[in-house]
Amino acid sequence: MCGRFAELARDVIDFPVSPDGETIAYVMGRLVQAFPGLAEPLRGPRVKACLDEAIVPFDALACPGQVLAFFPPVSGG
Amino acid sequence: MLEVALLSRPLEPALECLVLQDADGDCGGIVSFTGVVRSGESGTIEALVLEAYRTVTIRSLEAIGRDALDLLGARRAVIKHRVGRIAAGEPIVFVAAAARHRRAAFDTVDYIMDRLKTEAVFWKKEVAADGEAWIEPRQSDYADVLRWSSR
Repeated sequence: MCGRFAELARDVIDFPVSPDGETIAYVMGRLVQAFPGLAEPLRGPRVKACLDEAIVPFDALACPGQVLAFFPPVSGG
Repeated sequence: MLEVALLSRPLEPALECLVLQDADGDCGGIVSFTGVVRSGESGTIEALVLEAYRTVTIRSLEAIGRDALDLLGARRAVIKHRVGRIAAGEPIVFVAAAARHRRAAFDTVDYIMDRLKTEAVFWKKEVAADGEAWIEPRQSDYADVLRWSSR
């Protein structure tokens, strides 16, 4: 979790996903169940998902062992 | 040629300018910009805390710098950005460009700063005497970057 999302949940969350993978949108739903405070911020505009250091769409598949990060809207430099 | 860095130590803009001067004798113009953390109108902001996602953040800076060089024709560009806690009054970003002629150097720095303000992958928290707040680009920052869409 990055930026303000980390304050609403934790910096690093170990999250089991099925061996066949789960879409990032599905993972988001499960995350929201665990951290209800993320529900609204995660649905906000300009939120991005980053899988193994690449920005990916929310229908991309996250598999066990991959690192998934959620980016709040960037602040810029 | 493009140089990009994320720094956890203080920036030294004067030194950075000297390095750029020595690098290329064919450049007739070197322009630099140093962004400094403001204490705000009421003077209550103590610091900014900048978080980055190192690999993705560096890639975002490199993409902006490469686009600037391709679009505006400067010979060199430098983007150095601090991360971590930066006290009010300290430099937070240094951007410079060297070009054969001055206009390309000015435009390159201007373009890079406009895109940095809205696209660079940083999360910025303002630390004030009365609390902390995450900040996002202002509408004017988004308007600034649109100036370049017709180039």
